[in-house]
Parts: sequence; structure tokens; C-alpha cells
Amino acid sequence: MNRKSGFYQDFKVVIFILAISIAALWQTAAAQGNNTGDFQKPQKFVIGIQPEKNIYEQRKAYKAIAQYIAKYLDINVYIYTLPNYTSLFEAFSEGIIDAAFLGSFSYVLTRDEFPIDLLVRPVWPDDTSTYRGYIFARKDSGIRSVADMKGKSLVLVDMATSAGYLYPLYYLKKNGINSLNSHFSDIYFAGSHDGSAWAVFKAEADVGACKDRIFNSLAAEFPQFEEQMVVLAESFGLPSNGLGVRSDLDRGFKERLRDLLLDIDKSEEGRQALKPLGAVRFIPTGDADYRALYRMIDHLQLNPDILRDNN
Amino acid sequence: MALSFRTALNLGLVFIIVVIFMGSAFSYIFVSRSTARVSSIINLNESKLGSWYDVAEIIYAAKDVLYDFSHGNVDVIAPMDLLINKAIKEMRAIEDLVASPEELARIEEIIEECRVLQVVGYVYQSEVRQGYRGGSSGLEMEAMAVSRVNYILQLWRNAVTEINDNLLDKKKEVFRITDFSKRMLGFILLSAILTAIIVGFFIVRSLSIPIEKLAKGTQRIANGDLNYRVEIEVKDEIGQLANSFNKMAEELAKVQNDLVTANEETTILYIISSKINRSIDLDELLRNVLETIIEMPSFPFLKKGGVFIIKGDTMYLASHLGHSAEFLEAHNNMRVGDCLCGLVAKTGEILVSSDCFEDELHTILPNDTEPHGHIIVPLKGSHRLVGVMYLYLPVNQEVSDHLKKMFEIIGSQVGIAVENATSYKDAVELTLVDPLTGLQNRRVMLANLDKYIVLAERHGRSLSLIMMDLDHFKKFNDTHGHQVGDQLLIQVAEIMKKLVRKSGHIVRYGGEEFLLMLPEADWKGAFQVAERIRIAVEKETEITISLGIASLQKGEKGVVSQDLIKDADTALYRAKQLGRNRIEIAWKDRT
Repeated sequence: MNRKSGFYQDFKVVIFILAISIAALWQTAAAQGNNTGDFQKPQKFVIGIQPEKNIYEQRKAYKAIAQYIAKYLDINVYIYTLPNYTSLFEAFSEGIIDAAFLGSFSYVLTRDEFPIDLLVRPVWPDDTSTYRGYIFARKDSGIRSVADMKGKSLVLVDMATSAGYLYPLYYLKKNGINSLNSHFSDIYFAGSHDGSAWAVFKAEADVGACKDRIFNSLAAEFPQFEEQMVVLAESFGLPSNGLGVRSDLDRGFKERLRDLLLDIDKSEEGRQALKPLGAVRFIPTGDADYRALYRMIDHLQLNPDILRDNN
Repeated sequence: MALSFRTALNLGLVFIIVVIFMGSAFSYIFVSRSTARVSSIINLNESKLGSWYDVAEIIYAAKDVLYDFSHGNVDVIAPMDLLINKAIKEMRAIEDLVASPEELARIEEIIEECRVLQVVGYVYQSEVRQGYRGGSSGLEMEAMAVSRVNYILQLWRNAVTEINDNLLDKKKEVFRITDFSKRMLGFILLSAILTAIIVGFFIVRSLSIPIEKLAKGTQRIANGDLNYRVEIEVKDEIGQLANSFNKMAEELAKVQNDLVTANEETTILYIISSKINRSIDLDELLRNVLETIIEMPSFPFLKKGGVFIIKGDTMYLASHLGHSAEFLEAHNNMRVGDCLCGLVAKTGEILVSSDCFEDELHTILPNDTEPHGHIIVPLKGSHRLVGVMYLYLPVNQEVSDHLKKMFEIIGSQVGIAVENATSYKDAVELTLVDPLTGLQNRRVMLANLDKYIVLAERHGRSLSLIMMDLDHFKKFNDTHGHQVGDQLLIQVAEIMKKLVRKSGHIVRYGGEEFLLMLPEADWKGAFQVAERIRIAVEKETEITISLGIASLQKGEKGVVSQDLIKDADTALYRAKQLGRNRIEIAWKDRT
């Protein structure tokens, strides 16, 4: 075989390989296109987040997950920071939001009025997917018991929170205090869990209540906080803020979203998206996980309607 | 040196690839180093800017809290205080990225303002606790707090603007570098294209020059210049083509040369043949051949040469050109085997000698010999070697095989011609001369006798005939045999030759009869001659002779040869009748 014909032979092989590669890529692209076509995508997807912490940190915590969803479901995802806990119902009912990372009590309060499907909830590095309510005071206040709280000021988060309202109410009632107003000199609402904890640290109030995770993160961030604060009581575990979506969303889309989030920890990119939230993965969740909360509400004989109206 | 097409092409491609690779590598290193330096600055600034935007978000969040607090949405100022603390922490982190004192001072100023805001916040909160939320002091504190926040945001804007400006400058620098790299790549591409054009030019040149040379060569050769050679040094297909072409031209030249030589040979052979055919006389033939060969311009011979004719063991110089008497003397008694010519006569092979003084076989060298070489050609007849032709060459003259072969042919032709000429000469002699006695025969005598008679009558001179016959020759033959008889005849002839003057003619008239013609001799003169002969024969041989004389008298006219011969014969008869060994004279009146 002369040199010339060798060159043409090589050239033909290269062309053949190129053709095969292009065909294969075409097929792959077409297959991916088909995969996104088996459910009805909403034009946009807005996720509401509650002011568990200050707005800045909340937005920061959920931004990466929102981007992850946007990328893999190929839709526009926005984060809507709710001004307070009880504005959740309005946001859903007015169509402002399609989903929300819901505080447990917020879910209970909203669920009966607006149909929500709970999809997933986060699991923390300690392998729990729950939080507890803390009741705390400054060490130097001398307050160590419910009795010591008498005549002192109390700071709560919001009436629509489990750890920041429901649990202290439940705890105090268990300890014989049926009326907060009569036991405490003042009752304040901080609007956020970290605000509640910081108000006690800064001696704006004597006793406070908030989520354990928020309290602990402040302790980790500010050593003085850890030194000067003391936890007086903590609740049983309550489901962490899970992702609930409007029930009327396309079923295929909801399944895709749930599956995407359940598999988020399988990739490095997903694990990086979870990091700002402080979670390690998502697990499935549903109404059954909230039974303990229902019992607490029953015990307190609270009327949710009043709570909703108050806000 | 011209490169082969393939080598030039490969070198060109390699060169272009090297230029592109080197250029790309150089620009890549330059661009990557420059952009890495600027990028690190940009990254630092973008990182700072990110932190600054975080600070802004925190401050805005703090402002929201302040709003909520002033509107009674929240009852504690602590969330704002916490956020301010977080903003301060964020700014402390920015400080680690900052190098300029001005920027550090700006950060310190903002932090200071944040601390003031915290204090103002708590004063405001205190006012609110005391029930002055809507009062003048409460509103004053609220306004103060809001103005502090706005002032902080103003300071933030200044800081961010400065960073943005810096960032813009750096981005412009990146743009400049990118632009430069684009120009650089453009330059490299242009260089590569130029290089490709130059290399292409040389490739085409390296291809076209040999083709042009080849075309020129074909034209030259087509026009008959067979000595032209295409000079192409390349080893590629064109080089091979040129080589083949040169070989073809060489072959053509050779064939042409052979044709010219063959033509010349044919011409020479033709000329020599024509010279040979023009003469049957040996002397004339040899002279013609020698002159023709020596004068032939295409032969390198000197103006000397000759031909030896072989006779048994001896050789005699039958013809020659340009020789001295000394030379002729030296070669007078040549024998086969003597000197170079003798050697050729012996071997029959053509011989070339380059220098007579160096050649040991060249044995005969007269004193006047000048330096020379030889080509010596055997002259071959139909059955034997008839002679040797020697020609003179300048010293050390090379003789081609071709010339040798041609001279072999010439040798054969001349040999045959010599043989023919010799045969002719012999035949002529056989016709005119009596082979036994060497005397002319009666035909010669009869041819000339009438002529002599006419001349004698015209000038009034005498003329005598003597008819002679040997006495009892038959008896002698019978007694002694024919061979002795022949010897006797020869002896008698020799006696007559000796005794008859040169103007006399003696012929053997037949058998044992001889006829003598003596111009200007009357009967007396003739009688004296006859008598001397008779006496000499009688004396010197075992036999006697009888003689009859007839003479043409002065003034006698109209006599014919036959009459005179008859008279002489009649007188002889009478002499026989009268007893032999005597002379009788015819006195008959022919009128």
C-alpha cells in the first residue's frame, strides 16, 4: 500500500468515528429532551421561606437549593422571604408562592385551610431530622426554674411557631402556669428565633424560647453567648422545616421534585447545595410525622383560628 | 542544494506546525501569566465585593428589623443588634483581604458607625419601653437610628464604588491582555500563512526548477544536442526521470556516434574499394591504397607506410611511401618473422606498436628512424597471407578496437586485390613470355615484327631474322629425358641473351626453334651474331645448332613479316639439309 492511499484510509476512519460520535451525541441530546417532557412544568416555581432566622441568613441558607432545583428541573425558581410566620397562608392562597419550607406549627395552621403536600424534610449532621424547643435565660439572671421566672419578662418568637410559642406555652402549663400574663411582667415577640435568643443575651428580656438549632448556632458563633446563657428546658423532637408544595401542582412535577431532593446528597454538587442549610440529605415526610405536635395543640386546647386571626 | 519535493513538503509542514506551536505556546504563556496576575486581583476584589454585598444585605435586614420594631411588629431590638454584630464580623473578614490603609480606615469608620447604631438602637428601645414609642423622643431616636443606617449604607456605597472602579480598571486590563493575545494570535496566524506561502513557493520552486531543466534538456536534445545533460541533483521521481533522460541521451549519442563511425567506415571502405577496383596492376594498386589510407583525414597516420609481399619465406617491399634509401636498404632482405612486419606475416594477426624505440620486437631500426608507432595489417588472400601493410602512427597513439576491426576488413580486401593483381601479372607473363626460357614468345615477335619492318623500310635501314633450331634435339630428349632437354633449352636461351645486343629480340618460336630479330643489321651483321651463337652452343653444350638468316635489304619495300620468316625458315632447312651445325643465308629475290 502506497503512502497516499494510507492517508486516505486514515482520513476515512476519522470521518467514520466523527460521524458515529455525532450520531451518539444527537441520540443522547434527544433522550434528555424526552426525559423533561414527561411532566408539566410550571412557568416559574416560587419557594417561600419563613423568618426562622434573620432574612439575610434565611435567604443565604436556601439559595443554593433553589438554584439546584432550577438547574435540574429546568425551570425558574425564586425565593420569597415571608415577612412573618403567619403570612404563609396568604402567600399560598394568593398564589404568591408554590411551595415553602414550613415550620411545623405553620404547617399545621395552614394545612386545614390550604391543601399542601409535604414532600421532604432535611436531615442534620447528627442524623436527626427534628428540632427541639429551648427555654433559656442568662446565667447571671439567677433564673433556674419556672418559679424564678415569676415577674420576669419573657421573649417569644411568633405565635405561629412550635419552639418559639407552642412549646413554652405547653411547658409552662405543665408547670402550673396557665396564664403567661400573670406569671411574667412582660411578654415580647422577637419575630425570629435568633432575635429571641439574642434579646435574652442582650438582657432585653429575662427568659426566652427558640429552636435549639438557632440557639446552638449562636453559641457556636459568639463565645460570650455560650458563656452567658443557660438552657432551662427543652422539648421533644419536632419535625424540621419540611418542603410543602401546593397540592394542585402537576403530579409528575411533584414526583420529579421529590425524587430530585431525595437524591440531592448523591452528588458532590448536591452536597454543596445542602451545606448553607446545614443539612446532609433529605428524607420523605408526611402528615403522620406531626402527630406529637397535634397532641401538644390538643393539650393546650388551642384554637388555631384564633392564632391565625391574631396574626 | 535542491531538496526533493517530498522532503521540502514535509519540512514545510513541520516548520509551519513548529511556528504555530511556538507562537501559540508563547502567547499562551504570556496571556496566562498576565491574566493570572490580573485575575487574582479581580478574584480578590470580587470576593471582597461579595462580602461587601453580604454586609449590605445584613444592614438592609437590620433596617427591616428597625422598621418592624418602630411599627410594633416586633418588641425587641435585639435582632437588629445581632445583625449589626454579623455585619461587623463580615467586615472584619474583609479586612483580612485589604492591603490599603485607606480602605482599612473606611472599614473601621463603618464598623464604628455600626457600633453607634447599636447604641442608638438600644436607646431607642429604652425610649419605647418607657412608653415613648410615638413620642418626640421616641421618634427622634427612631430618626437618628434610621439616619445612622442610611449613613452606614452611604459609606458602604463609597467603598463598593471604589472597589468597582478598581475592578473595572482590572477588567479593562484583562481586556487589553485579551486584545493583545488576539493580536498576537492574529500575528501568529499571519506568520503561519506567510510561512506557508514562502514554503509553498519554495516547494513549487523545488518542483518547477527541475521540470524547467528537464523541459530545456528535452528541447536541446530534440534539437540534436545529444551531448547536453539535464543537471538535476534531487533524488525524487523528477530526479529519476532526469537520470533516465540523461541515460537515454547518452545511448542516443552512442548510437549516433556508432552510426557516424559506421558511415565513415563504409565511406572509407568504399573509397578504398574503389581505389582497389580501379587498378589491376599490383604496383598501381598498392600505391593507390597506401596514398588513400594515409591521406584519409579521419585516420591518425603519419605520411609513411608500405606493403610487403610475401614470397615463400621472404618478403619484398612491393610499395612504399616516404622512405629513405637507408630504410629501403635495411629492409632489402626481409624474411618472414623479421621485425614487426615479419611477425605479422608469421602470425596473420593485426599488430599495434605504440613506440618503435620501446618495442623490443621492432628490431630493424635504420639510423634515420624517427620516433613512431605502427599499425601493421596482414593482407589476407583467399587462401593465404599475401602480404603485410604497415602504417605509421604518432608515438603512443591509441588505436580503437573499432579501427583495428576496420583494418582487418581493409586487410582482407587489399589481400584479395593483391592476390588478383598477382594472378593477373602471372597470366600476362604467361601470355607474352615463354615460361621455360623467360624469352618472349612468337606472338610478341609477330606483333612487333611488321612494325619493325615498316620502320626499317621508312628509314631505309636493314633488318635481319635468324631462325635457329637445335640439332637432333629429339634424340637428345630421348636420351637424356625431357627435364635435361628443358635445361638445355634454357642454357641455349641464356647463351643467346648473352650474345645478342639489347636492341635485338629473341623469341622461342616453338619446340626447339628460336627466332632472333636484329633491327638495323644486314645479313653480314646477322651472320656474325649467328656464328657467335653457333660456336658458343657447340662449345658450351652437348649439342649443335643450325641457323637460317633472312635479311631486309636496304631500299627493299613491301616485305611482310611472314615472307621474311619463311625465308629464314627456308635457309634453316637448307642448313639442316647441308649437314647441320651451320648457317645458311636466304638469297631469294622476293620481288
